[in-house]
Amino acid sequence: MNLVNVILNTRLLPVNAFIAGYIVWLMIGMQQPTSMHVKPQLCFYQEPEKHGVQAPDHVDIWIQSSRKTLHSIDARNTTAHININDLASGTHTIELHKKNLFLPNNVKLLQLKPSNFTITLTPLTQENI
Amino acid sequence: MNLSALSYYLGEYFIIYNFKDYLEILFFAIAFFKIAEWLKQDLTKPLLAYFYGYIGMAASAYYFDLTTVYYTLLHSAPAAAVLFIIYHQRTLQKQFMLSQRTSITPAMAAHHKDWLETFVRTCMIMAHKQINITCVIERKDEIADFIHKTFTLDIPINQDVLTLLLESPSFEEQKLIWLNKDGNLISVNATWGNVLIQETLLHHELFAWQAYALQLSQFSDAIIFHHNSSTHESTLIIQGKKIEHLSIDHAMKMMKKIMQKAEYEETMKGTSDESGKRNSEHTTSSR
Repeated sequence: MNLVNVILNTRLLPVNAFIAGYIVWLMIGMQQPTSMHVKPQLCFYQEPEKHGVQAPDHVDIWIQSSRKTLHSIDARNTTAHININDLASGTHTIELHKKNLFLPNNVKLLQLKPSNFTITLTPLTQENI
Repeated sequence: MNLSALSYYLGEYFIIYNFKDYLEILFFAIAFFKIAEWLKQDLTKPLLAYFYGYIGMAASAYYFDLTTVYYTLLHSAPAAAVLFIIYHQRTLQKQFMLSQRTSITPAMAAHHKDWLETFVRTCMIMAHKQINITCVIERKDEIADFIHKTFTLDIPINQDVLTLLLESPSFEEQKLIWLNKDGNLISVNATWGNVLIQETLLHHELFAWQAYALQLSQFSDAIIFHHNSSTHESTLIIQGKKIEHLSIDHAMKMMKKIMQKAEYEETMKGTSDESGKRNSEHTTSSR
């Protein structure tokens, strides 16, 4: 049985239809805008020396762009970067912005949840170090 | 592998991000399945291969970034769809039948009003002689593609001729008798065509002739009648349905009813078409 016969086989009709459907969907859908839910990790840099950081692990964001862009920027692995160099010991409220996510301009940030969160900086004792 | 990992890999390798994407793919898959199923029904042209070829070309053009070819194929898709519809066997058959209806009138029908009774009577005689009969009655749809005949008779049904043919030693009872709706005997010793045999999936619960007959009745409006001489029971197959354990009398009544109903509907349609034509001619002349 050659390949053409396999492709045209009546029993394989649903499988072939599914593959054809997926290919056409992909061809048309790659340029279409689509939204995506991502849970970026919160990443703190320039931490004050000898301080411990207590903060949420991640936030929820909804972004929108073409499927092609979302795939090319690896949107699922987005991380929120926050500079905490200026913060002193104690509890602070930090507001998150699109710039913290380092998203390209053609990616629209639809929703950010929570948009601000609490961070606690505690000086580390000799024991904790 | 858990669900989130699966979802991650689907996103990574198949660019499927959320449940809405699954719904969209399902929509395209069902639509293409229905189209492919319909195209597959055309046994005279490889329309399904053309359809897959078209999608394959578009996908290749997209993959190799041949934007002009890709957009040309994408924008000419509706035109290609219209061509598929026009050249599909079913559509051609319908158009052929429409053109036939206006020009050809069944002149022989009046002379062979009782042809079915004559045929059934012959079947009963043959049953007493332990001869099984399998017969295909061609109606509106042409079945020449599905039945293979070694010779053509095309003669009005006559009991003497039928008896002579069916009692002849060269008559093979496992083969088919081919009749048409006007009461003509088209051929005897006909066999199931290769196209039909290739398309039919044999099933252990069905005799081979039943499987072929069911397939034929799905492709066309033909009636397949079988009379078993040992059980004296008849089987009718029509529109993909099998009706078994019928008495020959009951089978004949059913066949007659089906054919009369179709004839009545055809006449009514013809009358309404003609009166519509007359009305339009009248309107034109009055202007």
